[in-house]
Amino acid sequence: MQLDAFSNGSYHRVLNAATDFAVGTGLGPFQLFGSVNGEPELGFVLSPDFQHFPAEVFVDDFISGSYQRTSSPFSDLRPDEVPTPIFQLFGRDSGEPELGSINTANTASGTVELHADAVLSAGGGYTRILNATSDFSPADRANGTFQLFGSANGDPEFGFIKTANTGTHTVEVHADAITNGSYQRFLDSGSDFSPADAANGSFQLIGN
Amino acid sequence: MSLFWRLTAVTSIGLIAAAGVVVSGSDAMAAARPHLRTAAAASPAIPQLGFVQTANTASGTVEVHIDTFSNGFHRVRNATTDFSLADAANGTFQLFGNVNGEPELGFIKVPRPRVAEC
Repeated sequence: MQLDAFSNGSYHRVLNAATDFAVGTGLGPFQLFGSVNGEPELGFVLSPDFQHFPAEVFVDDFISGSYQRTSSPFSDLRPDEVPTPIFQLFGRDSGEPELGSINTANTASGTVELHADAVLSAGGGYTRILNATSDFSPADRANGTFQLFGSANGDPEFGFIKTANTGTHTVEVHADAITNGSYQRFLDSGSDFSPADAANGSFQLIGN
Repeated sequence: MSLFWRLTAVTSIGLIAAAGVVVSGSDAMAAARPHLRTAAAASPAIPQLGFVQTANTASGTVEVHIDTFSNGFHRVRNATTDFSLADAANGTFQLFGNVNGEPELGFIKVPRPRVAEC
């Protein structure tokens, strides 16, 4: 894991650290989240055969100069409720990151749905804490990426970065917050990025 | 320049939290998040939009570009890094956190396994 911080007009290396994740075992995507002693935590959701085995979350913290495993709880997400999940780790309300699963296919509601798990007791597995619909359409998935960010009221905000077929011909940001049990739009905006930029890198929402 | 933007007030979130009603999930959820019952509700967070450019950059290094929302998203940062464009083939970049008002840039290097040689 390598980390750059911004200073004097550009990003400069502040951390180079090894991890205890093995190479070549189909790992990924990894995610950075939270902060322990000033360094981000490194997590990974393992779901090689989600149809038959539960997803497992691996968390490394920066300890004595390298990233070392601190927990690996199992999720309670079932393939029948989230057949093709987009996993995302976020926040840290209960000692472990929460595990979000964005469901964009075959949802009961016909909208994109969000499920969230949290570890509620030390050493335990993940337990469902949130099932919510949204005002995003499953068809949106073809035009951009969904992402969880922030946590204004205990639940994450739910964003969509639209990079194709946008009405503004710019990259667009659409964001939902939860209210009355479902995610509802609070932001629709264009940007000064071009959809063509998507071919040269990756966009992401940065929560406060 | 942004051609449109719409920011919708979400005032009902405050009423939900103030009333101590957990809008979804179980009692266990409320136990894990006691601030849902007691803390003043916050407005939804308007994120920044970050772009990690790993190809066709003017500087020849990986670049970070950031938009902040103010009546639409507008560029507030264009910065070079000390990462090489070639790094992009060996891992993923991620913007996160906030140090002195700027996100940090992480690179998680996952080198491809070596193929056994005959």
